[in-house]
Amino acid sequence: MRLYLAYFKMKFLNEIQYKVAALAGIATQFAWGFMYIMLFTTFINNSDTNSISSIQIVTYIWLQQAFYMLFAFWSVDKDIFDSITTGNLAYELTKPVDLYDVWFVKTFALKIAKTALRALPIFLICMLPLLGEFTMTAPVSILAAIWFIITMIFSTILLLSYIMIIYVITITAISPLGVKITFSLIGDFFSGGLIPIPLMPDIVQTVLKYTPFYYIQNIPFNIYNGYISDNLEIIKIIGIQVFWIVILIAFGKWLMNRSMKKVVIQGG
Amino acid sequence: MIELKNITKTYKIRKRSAGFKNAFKTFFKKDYEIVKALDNISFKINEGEMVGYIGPNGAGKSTTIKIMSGILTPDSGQANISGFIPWKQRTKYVKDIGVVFGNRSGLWWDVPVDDSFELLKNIYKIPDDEYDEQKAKLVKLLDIEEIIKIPTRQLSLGQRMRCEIAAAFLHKPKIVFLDEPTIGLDAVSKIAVREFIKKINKEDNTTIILTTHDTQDIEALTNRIILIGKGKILLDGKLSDLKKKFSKKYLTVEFNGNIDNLCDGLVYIEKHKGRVKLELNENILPLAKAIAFLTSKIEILDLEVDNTSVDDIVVKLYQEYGI
Repeated sequence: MRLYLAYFKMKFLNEIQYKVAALAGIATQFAWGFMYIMLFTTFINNSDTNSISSIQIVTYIWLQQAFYMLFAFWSVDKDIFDSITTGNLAYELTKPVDLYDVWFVKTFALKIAKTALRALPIFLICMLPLLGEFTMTAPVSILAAIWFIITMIFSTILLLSYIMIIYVITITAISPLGVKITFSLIGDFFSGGLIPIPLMPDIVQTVLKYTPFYYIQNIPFNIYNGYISDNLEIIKIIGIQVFWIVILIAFGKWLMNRSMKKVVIQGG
Repeated sequence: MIELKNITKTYKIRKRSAGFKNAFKTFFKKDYEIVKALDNISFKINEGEMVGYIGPNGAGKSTTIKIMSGILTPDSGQANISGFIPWKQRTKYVKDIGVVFGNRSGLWWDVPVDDSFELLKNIYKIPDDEYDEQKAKLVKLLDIEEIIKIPTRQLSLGQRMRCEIAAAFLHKPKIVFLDEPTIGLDAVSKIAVREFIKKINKEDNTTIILTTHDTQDIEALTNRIILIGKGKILLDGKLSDLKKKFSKKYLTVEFNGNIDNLCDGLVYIEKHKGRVKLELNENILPLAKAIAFLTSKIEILDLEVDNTSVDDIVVKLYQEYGI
């Protein structure tokens, strides 16, 4: 455990240096946030079939912007891809550590560092009442706040175990480009990164419930804004999150062991 | 102890000729070539030995190092390195080894080197006092006291290399693989690195396997060399024996007078008025006798004795084995 803390600390320190990038990121996040809110509230206000309210959508969008780096599928550890393409992976393989676990922790640290720099300012500003109809609400109840935190943790782990599969496939493919684009596009769309899942057609929502994508950002954000509020349902959802985490990690580790046997470090 | 037995490794290499037509063809049919990188490699290295592993580019040196450090799985053959099969028991095995790849970096790019060391301490679970002691020793030997406070990306190649080497020795490994550790270094850094390797091999009885193209490295460091070419071991022996086999002495003499005939063991290489270069065969004529012979014939103004350099030996070896 101390080892993983050390890796975490290292990656965090490494990442926290890019402060200007974070500032630029915050500005972008605001621009997108306002755009999305205008777009989706127009939709909701002009239709009568929707179950999600425009206030809930506003909060959903701001949460999404605040935790953008945490849940964006494309935000992965570039260093890991580089180590695969350049062969620096060789060095990591000569260390007495489990590569899967190390990459997992590294990506986690990276995402936490990037989120830490962005989330807080967005939270503070969006909660200001002067934003009018664009204001983000507090969690609907204390219980919702607690469920939010718990499901955030599981959602993050679930996303990481999905991203791990992208890394592992890259080991055999060597170039990360195709794998990354395919996996992150699918992930971003079906996890509600572009259109919130509650705004998708019913049939799509039903199908998505059988995939891990439904259980990533969709869950904590919609608990926070009160769209999902039934305690029993939330407990069931957490169970499904754990189920997918176990499946994806087991698959990722199995695939990793398999490709490690065939790995060729080229050059040098 | 390191023991490799009949290690074979092949790579599948995709190839095509240049041009659109050929690029298009690969959509339907890909051409592969099977390249034998290692062909029945066997050798034994004892504890505390320092071995130079040499051969031309593409001979299979790095492949061997990668197999021995547990990164690559060979197609066939056995290995036993301090009781482990490297590629099968990788995580347990690598605790006792250190690796430096001269053309790659194992340090974290954006943080000071010292932070990278700190992480290694955690990776190898080195106790505090042992770590402090070893770090102090390495820092002093490699003269990197100030350097380790600087982020890796701002170091020169020579500074970075010294840090990379220190990183590989932090956990007091029993075996260290150095894959071209002096590549691209200036004379001062090279000598510092060599001195360090020599010292640590002697003091800690660390087994060191070194691949290099730098013949001065070999001369300064190793007694035993293993020559590999086209995936096969061509020669495994002492450097001094090789020197004896290939070594020749050359005498350059400036003189007054005339040399009429040379005695057995001396042959002309160059002949000018007042200056000659002679090749001496020591098996027939010892150096002292050759000089005595020359003084009896002429008045020597200046005399220079040259030995064959290790460079020449290596070139001759490559020629002899056709690699």
